[in-house]
Amino acid sequence: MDAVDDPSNPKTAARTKRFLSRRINDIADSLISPSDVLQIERQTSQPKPARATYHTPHVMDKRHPSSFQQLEKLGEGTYATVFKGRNRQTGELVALKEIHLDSEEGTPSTAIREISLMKELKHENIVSLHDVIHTENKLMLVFEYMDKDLKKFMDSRGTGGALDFITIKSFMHQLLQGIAFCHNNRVLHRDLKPQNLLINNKGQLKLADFGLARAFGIPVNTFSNEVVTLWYRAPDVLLGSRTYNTSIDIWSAGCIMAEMYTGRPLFPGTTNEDQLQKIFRLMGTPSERSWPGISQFPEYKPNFHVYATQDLRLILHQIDQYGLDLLGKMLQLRPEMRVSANEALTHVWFRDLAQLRMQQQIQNQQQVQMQQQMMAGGYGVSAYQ
Amino acid sequence: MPTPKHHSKTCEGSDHVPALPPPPEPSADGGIVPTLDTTSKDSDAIPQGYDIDIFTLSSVAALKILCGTVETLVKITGDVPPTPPVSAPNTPISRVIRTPQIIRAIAQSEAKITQKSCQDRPPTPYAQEMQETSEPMPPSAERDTQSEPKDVPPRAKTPIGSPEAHPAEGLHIIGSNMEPLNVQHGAITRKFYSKRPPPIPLEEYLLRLHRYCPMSTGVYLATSLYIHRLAIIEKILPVTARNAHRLLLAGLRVAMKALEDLSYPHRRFAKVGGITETELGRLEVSFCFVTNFELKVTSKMLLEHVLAVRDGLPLTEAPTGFQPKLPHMRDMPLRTPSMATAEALKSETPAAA
Repeated sequence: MDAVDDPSNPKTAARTKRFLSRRINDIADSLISPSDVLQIERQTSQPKPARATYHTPHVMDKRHPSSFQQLEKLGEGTYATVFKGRNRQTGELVALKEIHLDSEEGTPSTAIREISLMKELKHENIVSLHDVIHTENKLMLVFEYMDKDLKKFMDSRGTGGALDFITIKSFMHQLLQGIAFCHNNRVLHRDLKPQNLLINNKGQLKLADFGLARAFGIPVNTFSNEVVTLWYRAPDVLLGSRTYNTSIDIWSAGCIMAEMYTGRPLFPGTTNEDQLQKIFRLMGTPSERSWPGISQFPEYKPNFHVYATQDLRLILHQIDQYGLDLLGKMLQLRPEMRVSANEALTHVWFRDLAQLRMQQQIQNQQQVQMQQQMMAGGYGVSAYQ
Repeated sequence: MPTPKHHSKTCEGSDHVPALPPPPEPSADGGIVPTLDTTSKDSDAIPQGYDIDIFTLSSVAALKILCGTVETLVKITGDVPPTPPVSAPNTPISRVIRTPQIIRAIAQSEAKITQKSCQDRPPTPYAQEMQETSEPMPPSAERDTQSEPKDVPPRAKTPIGSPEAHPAEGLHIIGSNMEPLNVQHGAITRKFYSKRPPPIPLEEYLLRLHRYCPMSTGVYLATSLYIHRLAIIEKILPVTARNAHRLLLAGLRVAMKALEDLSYPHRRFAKVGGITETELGRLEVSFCFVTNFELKVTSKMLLEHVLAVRDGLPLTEAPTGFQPKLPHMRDMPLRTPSMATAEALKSETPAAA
């Protein structure tokens, strides 16, 4: 030890002690639990005695919140902030979705729906909700941790966002399985888009964000058509339909499939009208002849610009015949003509999926071996350690 | 082709992609305001027979079914005070309003209650005490803090003061979804009690709600189903004249948020319901937790419920063994609410005691 830091010197010892306690405080600050964060937040708004803050976790909110360690922020939505978290007992990574309980509108209906629906939807292609914690004026939803969303996954490929055909097929199969499970349980997702599909390091895809989802087939009064993010919104919804059904999720799935081939959204519209126009330009403008009853929709205009149907292959150069067939069945303008999720899963395009996955696995193993030989570790830090 | 601003997430591409549009907002849809036709019609009578179509059932008929369910429950239950388990202190988890000081105060009052109830087990004064504490917290909290020294750490006085804090309960194990919440049900259910039964009859109250905030058949039936399930099937909440109004209001609020794309402004609903916005918010979240967020319904569930409650069969006679009391919280850390109740009933029999 350095002479200056001689512990026998009382002056230095005191300094060292101060330094250490500061260090400990620093460490404690970096290891805050959600409840601590909530406390701190509240403290800044209305100062409270500091001691009470430290007591709180032991007294009331001691159980759930302190059992998760809050890590970095993963994203921010309109009604929630998502943090990465770690279960303190098991070390398991989780996603903590923090929802502020608004005193003006009470508990957000998005939260009530998301919790009540995801509690029921237990499936390997749907993100699982582990727990709901009620602390102070927040609800904390504890989800299983996923590495990234499909959008970020595509952007990280370095291929301009496009994916290889085996990955596309695997993801589409998983997406349709998740959708089929929702639909079989009489739930519409109503906001399928790459940002709401989560991917983990095992190549699994799971549906997330059920804030806009709803049960269908019950006698209710209000059915909004302000659903699904514009680019993935089905033409019947764009035309003002309020009697849409499961087929709106299939349209979104079709848009996502095309996006995986090109890395770019298929119909990046800016307004409702622009969105319809972009769809018609590719799929052809529908008429009363091709879509009986279309003129009855609230947003139908008799002067829609008339486009002829384009071949999807002009945009999706890499797609094979079977894939094109399935995509065409999902991107039907008329909702009743769209394939169902259950039917789509039996499509011939998926017949060689198991075989392809096995091939890919072998390739990946070879790649990993090569990488290990070349780099001798230090790469590919798994999030599942 | 219009090429608006560059998408922030697409890098290195030469093509321009517009930014992802904002997520949709179903409640922003101006075209879904529910019809305000609340006049009674002939079809508002509850239909007989077994071929009921809940899709053609009028909302007023559904309201009457809901009213009938709750009235029957009140009738068979009688006036049950929000009895807590005798040795378990009051720990309402009003964490919405809880501040650290209040927590300390409660922890101390818990200690006192525990001592008192251990000496003698008088149910009535205890119930009164519950009544007081189920009222807004600050007054009693202040009183308790004054009578007790402020600097005593709460844990020193109440090592395991709350049954919820029992170390052996294995709370918050991840994957044991919601289980700890069963433990808290007793505390949550107390939030629905008023000191005295509200003067307005249930049907009048519901019709008033329906007049100013008309709701759908589905919302009325789902609320009826939720309350029936809480009282009869899971037996975790007795419905009495003192909590029926608040239960109805909270149930309707939650059902509407869960099932409809549009719900009434918080302020309006609170005003029509006759409570403050803060209390509505508290009741709403309490209802969610007491039902364990099991709010999803199907048309089949609603129909079966209508058929079950319409003829009043399962309601007029209380099921054997049903004791309209809150189960012991101490006995509740079990897998399912029904199991918890069974266990609680067992311990309430003289033999077990």
